[in-house]
Amino acid sequence: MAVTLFWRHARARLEVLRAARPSSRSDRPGARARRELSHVLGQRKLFQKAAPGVMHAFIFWGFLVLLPTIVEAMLAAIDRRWTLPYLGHVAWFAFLQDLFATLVVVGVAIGFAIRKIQRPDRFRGSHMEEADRILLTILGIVTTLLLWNASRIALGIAGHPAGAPIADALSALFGGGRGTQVAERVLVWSHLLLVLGFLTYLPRSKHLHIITAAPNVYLATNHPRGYLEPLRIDLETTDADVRLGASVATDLSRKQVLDLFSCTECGRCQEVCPAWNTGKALSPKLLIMDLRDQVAKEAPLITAGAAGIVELQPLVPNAVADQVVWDCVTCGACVRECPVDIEHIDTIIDLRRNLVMAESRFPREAEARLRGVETYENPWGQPASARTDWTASVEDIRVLQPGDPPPEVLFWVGCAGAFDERAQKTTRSIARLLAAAGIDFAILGPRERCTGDPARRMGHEYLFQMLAEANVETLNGAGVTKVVASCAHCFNTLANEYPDYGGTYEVVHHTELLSALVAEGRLRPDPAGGRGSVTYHDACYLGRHNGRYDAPRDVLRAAGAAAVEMPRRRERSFCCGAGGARMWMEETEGTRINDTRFAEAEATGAETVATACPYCFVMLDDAAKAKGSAVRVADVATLLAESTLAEPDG
Amino acid sequence: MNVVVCAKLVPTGTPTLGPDHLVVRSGVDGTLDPGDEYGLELALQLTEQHGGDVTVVSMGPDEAGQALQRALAMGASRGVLVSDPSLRGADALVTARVLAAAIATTAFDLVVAGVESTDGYTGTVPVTVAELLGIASVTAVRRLEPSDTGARIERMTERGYDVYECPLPAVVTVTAGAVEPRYPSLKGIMQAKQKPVDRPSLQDLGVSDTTVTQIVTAVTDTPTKAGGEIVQGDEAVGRIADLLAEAKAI
Ligand SMILES: Cc1cc2nc3c(=O)[nH]c(=O)nc-3n(C[C@@H](O)[C@H](O)[C@H](O)COP(=O)(O)OP(=O)(O)OC[C@H]3O[C@@H](n4cnc5c(N)ncnc54)[C@H](O)[C@@H]3O)c2cc1C
Ligand code: SF4
Ligand code: SF4
Repeated sequence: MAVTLFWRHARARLEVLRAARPSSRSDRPGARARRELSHVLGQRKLFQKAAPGVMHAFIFWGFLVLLPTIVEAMLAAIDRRWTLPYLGHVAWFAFLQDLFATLVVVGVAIGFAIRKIQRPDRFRGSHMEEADRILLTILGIVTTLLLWNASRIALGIAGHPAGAPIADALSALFGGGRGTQVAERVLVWSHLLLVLGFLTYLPRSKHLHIITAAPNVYLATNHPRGYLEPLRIDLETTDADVRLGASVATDLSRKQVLDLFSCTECGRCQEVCPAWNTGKALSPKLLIMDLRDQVAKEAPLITAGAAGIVELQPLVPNAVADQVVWDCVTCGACVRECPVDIEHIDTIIDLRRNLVMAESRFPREAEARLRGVETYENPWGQPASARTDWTASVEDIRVLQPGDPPPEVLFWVGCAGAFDERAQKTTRSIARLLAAAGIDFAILGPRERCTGDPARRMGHEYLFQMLAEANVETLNGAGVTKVVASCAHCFNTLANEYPDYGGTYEVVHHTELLSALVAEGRLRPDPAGGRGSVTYHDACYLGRHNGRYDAPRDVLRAAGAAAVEMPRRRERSFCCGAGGARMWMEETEGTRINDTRFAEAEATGAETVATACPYCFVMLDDAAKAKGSAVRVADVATLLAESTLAEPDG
Repeated sequence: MNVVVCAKLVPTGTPTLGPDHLVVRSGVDGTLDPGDEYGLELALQLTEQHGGDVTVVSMGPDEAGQALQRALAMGASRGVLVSDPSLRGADALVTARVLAAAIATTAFDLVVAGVESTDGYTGTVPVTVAELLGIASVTAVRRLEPSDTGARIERMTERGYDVYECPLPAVVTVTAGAVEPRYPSLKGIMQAKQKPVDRPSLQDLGVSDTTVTQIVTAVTDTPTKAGGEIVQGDEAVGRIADLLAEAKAI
């Protein structure tokens, strides 16, 4: 009966999955298997937090070891002399059983200590009673197991009392007479009933992750985290009913639905989310839970086929409010923390795609930027000819003309680097350093367009696609093979996303190129000048999304900076607030993300905050100015130029 | 209420003049005149609230089709594009004649236009159209609501606004900022491709007189000089003579 109940609930979920859009996540099975070993068996992401990691690992490993025990108990329940063919007779299995049953008890105890005594904020909004019930059931399962084994030792029917010291010690509780015989029966049956009860409860609870987590980890993306899956849009052939992102439950992909069924409500994502931490409506955990609840509620409609689908309610604003969708800076902190590899950003972007492309519903203040990109191919709405304005005070910048021989390295300036007055300073520093190192480089000048990153993160996939195609055509036409980008967002788009549009280049970030030039001795900074104490802010799209942490720090060290680190750094860095097209939107709720981050930088006591992305630069510099702080904000390249060049800027 | 919206294609960026002193329009990227989006938005809101259709009328080179597509994507139901080589360099009067003739082929209760275009900005076309159609016109409108006798219209003035009761049909020009133009969705852009666009010829419209003003030359404003000198009193005459001598004028 338990099995039927389990199956009925599990099948409902399976059918919802089957009705979802197929995900194409089968590339590189080797990498997927390795991730399975480290994330699932090795519990690597769980250990990102010590105590909860130990707690979970004990329970998880315990259950793996104790799986055969269920069969053993079933056999013994029928006849107490029956046991498992081989395992029931060896001492080492008795020992493992004893050890891991005890570890599970310890795990449950830690779990209760965290939930009842420590009470971390990450659980806000999670189902606490459900978790308590589950922990208690687990405790029940292992204590009945230990006691059952103890009673068997007392009765002299367990094969290896010496292999199971804990159960052996507990056996003192039993006399070994008629009473113990009855106790043994009661214990084995209560053990089994608890296991079966757990099984039927499973598919309806957050503990479904026991089943869904492993496939979810397997299906996680193999791309760098900064990559988004393309949504191809062909205006000529597609009809008006084409899917433009996720509007209703059935627009979600299988991976996206499996994400929803895998969430353990652990709140690790919520704890690190810059939006949640600054008082915004968005919590990645609540987003996933709210979407899950709507999908679960609509499951009968979804599986009813076409007839039901017409009645599905839009996910926004029914499951999540519009503002929640717009609060995200796509920093990826949530995805990195999530122990079951849920990909929040992909779902958020799919919701945005629908809002922008199908509904035209988005924060109004971003409209001018979208129009700028549409008409002038840059969010600043400046004419293309102004892209070279920054070169006025820099000598001999080669602007690549059609038909020119390709340079060794193409310097992708980016819109911020070309149009923003403060970012132009970084651009000039990079150009001067490259020239000083004797690098053969050129810029596209007026032929460069926005990479499309802000439009894409905003949900305007079509605008992104047009820009990507046009840029790839220009780059390929010019025979470009290597690109250096100064903006972390341009870097990510060029390196990870343009290959989908036929543009494959060797893409480096300016900090990488500069660090290599210093290492090769082609740039010789004079560390004697000293740049004072500097704290480096990891840009999300350079660090967490692309794993580039060391090059900027190496450059700073070479420039003579005394490095001080912020508490949240490298893969745990805290966003500046500009990603995900948030740069274009007003931030009115709660405190400002850039202020929060700047305060953290300031608290290190550093004289300078170094950035490696123009967005971070502008955001943190704004925060410094707003606060009237004496701390300087400068790009890594500017600091290197000051240590290396006679005339760093003029 | 059926509304006709006049919408113009204007070049993106600074317009340049060709050797014939006319704005270079073909082969130049253009967009729907941002000023015309306000009128279109007002028209869309009116028809959404009170029923009826929006028709967009444009005169211009083939590229003006882009402006029409944008207007259709925002929600207009159909378009009318008048394009004829003889209309190249059309002046405000010819433009008005053509637009009036095109508008007359539709059943309309209201014609909406911009106050002035971004590139030509004579601001005369809409009122001329009204004159040619023999109907009333109100310029610089910021609000319009249907009323028992036609429409209740708020017209911007220097000090505030006047309220008019105006019979319909009429021509109105809508000020920038009166409403907030919508951003067309991609769905809208896709649907726009299915919407009908008529391309009547000048004969269809019965327009024969397209002679335009002869443009002899085009001049660029010279920058105004920094303030001159005001001379007063008894020495004035002598001072003027000195200045003229300095400037080698005498
Ligand atoms: C350099 C230059 C020189 C010119 N010289 C002369 C000249 O010597 N004599 C002369 O009479 N004119 C001249 N013009 C103006 C003429 O070419 C006008 O641009 C044109 O006729 C439309 O008038 P407008 O743009 O001023 O429209 P406005 O009256 O400013 O436009 C108001 C509204 O009318 C509607 N509208 C205007 N044109 C159209 C259209 N084509 N299609 C649909 N709706 C439209 C729009 O809603 C617009 O917002 C000149 C223009 C330029 C740029
Ligand atoms: S990507 Fe960053 S801002 Fe967005 S939900 Fe995740 S943690 Fe929050
Ligand atoms: S999404 Fe992941 S990190 Fe967030 S609560 Fe769910 S399981 Fe935990």
